[in-house]
Amino acid sequence: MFDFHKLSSRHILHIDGDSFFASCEVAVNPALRGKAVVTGKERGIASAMTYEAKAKGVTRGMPVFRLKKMFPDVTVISSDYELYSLFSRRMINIVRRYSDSVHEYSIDECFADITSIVKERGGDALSVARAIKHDLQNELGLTFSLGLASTKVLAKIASKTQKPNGLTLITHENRKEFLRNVPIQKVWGIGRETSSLLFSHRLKTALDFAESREDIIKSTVAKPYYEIFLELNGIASSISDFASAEEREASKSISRTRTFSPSSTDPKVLYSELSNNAEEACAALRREGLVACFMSFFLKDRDFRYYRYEAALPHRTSSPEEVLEIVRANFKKIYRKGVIYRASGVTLMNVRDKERFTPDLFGAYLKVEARKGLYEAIDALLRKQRSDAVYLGSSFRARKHHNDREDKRESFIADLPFPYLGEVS
Amino acid sequence: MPFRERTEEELADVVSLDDYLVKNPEASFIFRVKGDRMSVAGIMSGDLVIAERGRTPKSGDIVILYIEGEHVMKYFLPRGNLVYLESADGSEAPFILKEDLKVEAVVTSIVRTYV
Repeated sequence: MFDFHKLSSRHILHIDGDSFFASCEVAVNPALRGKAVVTGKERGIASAMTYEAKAKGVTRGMPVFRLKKMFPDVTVISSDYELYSLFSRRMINIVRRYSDSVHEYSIDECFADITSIVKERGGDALSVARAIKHDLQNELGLTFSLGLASTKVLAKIASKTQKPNGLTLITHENRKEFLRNVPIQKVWGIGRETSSLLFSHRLKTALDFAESREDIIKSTVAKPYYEIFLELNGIASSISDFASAEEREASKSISRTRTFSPSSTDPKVLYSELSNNAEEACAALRREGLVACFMSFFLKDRDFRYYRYEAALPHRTSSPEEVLEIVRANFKKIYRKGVIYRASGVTLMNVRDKERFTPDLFGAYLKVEARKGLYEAIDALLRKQRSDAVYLGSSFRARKHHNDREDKRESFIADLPFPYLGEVS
Repeated sequence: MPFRERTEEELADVVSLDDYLVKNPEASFIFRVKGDRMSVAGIMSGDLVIAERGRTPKSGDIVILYIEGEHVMKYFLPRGNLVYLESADGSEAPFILKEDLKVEAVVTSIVRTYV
C-alpha cells in the first residue's frame, strides 16, 4: 500500500493532564485527596471534575444546584485559572528538559518530539516517556496520561487509550489493533460533518479510514483530512511539524498583569493600572533589546471573566506611549459600566530583535527614533535608581496605590509564581 | 573613577535571589509557618517556607508531612531500614514513616523579612 520509506521514525509524545483543573485543586489542597471534587462554582455549572466525581455520575455542564442535590458529598469549588495556568507553565517547562520541540496545544495538553534525546539515550523511547511522566507527577502532584507514537495523530489516540495515569505506545506493528477501536468521529481533527460524510461511505472506525485507498482519499477529502489519513498510517504530515526556533521567537510574548485590591469600577483607576502594565511590559521588552508588533490588553472581573482587546501596533515598538495610544482608543470596547474589575494586563506579542527592525513606509519610524533617546535615558535612570524613579503620569494612580497597600505582603504571596499550600507547623 | 554603566550582558549574568532560594522552580511550593514548634531549628512563626515536591530527602532534611488534616515539619532520619520522623523541639516522640504516610515535600529554603 505505502512506500515503507515514508514511515515516520520519529518519537512523538502526547501529554494530557488527567482532569486537569480539578487535579490542580487537589494538588494544592491535600484535604481534597480521594474526594469527588468539581470546579465551576462561580459559573454555576460543573466545568471539571475528579475521577471520583465522574464515578458518582457527575458530568460536565451539570448545573451546580442540581448536582449538589443529587450528590451531597461532592465538593464544589470555584475555578482558579491563575493556578491552572501556573501548573500548565510548569508542565511545559518540565517537558522542555527533554526536548526543544514542544507544542503547547492547550492548557492541559502538549506534544513533544523526543526523537533526539531517545537517540542519545540508546534508543529506548518508552523509558524516556516514563522519565518525563515521573518528573511531571512527582513534582506537580497530579497524574498525566501519555501517548507515544510516530505521528501526532497517533500519539493523541495513544494517550486517550488509557486514562487516567496511562502510558501507551503505538508502533507501526500494533497500530491497527488501536485504530480498530477508535470511532471515526473520535479521531483528532475530524469534525461532525466530516465524520458523517465518512460514515456514509461506511468508514466507521479510524482503521476503516486508514485502510481506504490512498488515491480515492486524496481526491475526495480536503487536504487536512488527507493528512490525518497519512498520520493514521504512521506517515508524518505537516500536522506533526513543530515550530522552529525562529517561529517560536515570533510567537514569544511579554506580558505584565496585576491584581489590584480593592477591585474597582472606576475607569480612571483601571486606565491607570493598564498604563502601569504597559510601562512595565515595555521596560521588560527594552531590557531584552526587543520590539513588539502586536499587543493585547485585558480587564478581568471578579468572576474571572476576561474582557480583551487585540490590535496590531502601527510599527515595531517598545515605547509605552504607543501601546497606550491603542489602549486609550479602545478602552471603551472592553470596559462595561458597573462591572467590578479585579485585574488588568498588557501583553506585547510577535516580539522581535531590535536589530531585525524594518521601519514602516509611512514615517512613523521617525517618531520612534526621536523617542528612542528618551527611553534609553529613562532605562539608564531606572537601573541606577529605584525602579519607580520615573514613570508616566497616567500610571501615577496605580503606582501610588501599589505602594499604599497595607496588605502588601499577603498579596505578595498570592502573586508569587509558586502555589501557596497554606500553613505548616 | 566615574561610575560605569553596566552592560546588558553583565546584567544578564547576575543571579537573582529567586535562583538562590529556589532550586527547582517547577517543583517548588510555598507554606507559611504557624506556631513555634520549629523555633529550635531556627524556623519562626510567620516565616515563608519554600519546599520541593519529588525531591528524595536525605538524612537530616526537614520534610513536610500531611497528618490529620495539617501540614507539619519534621526531621527526616533514616536508621537501618526504618525512617524516623522527629520533631525539632522534642515535644513529640519520634515516629516511623509508614506506607500510608508520605513525604509531601522537602524544605529547601526559609524566607523571613523584618521590615
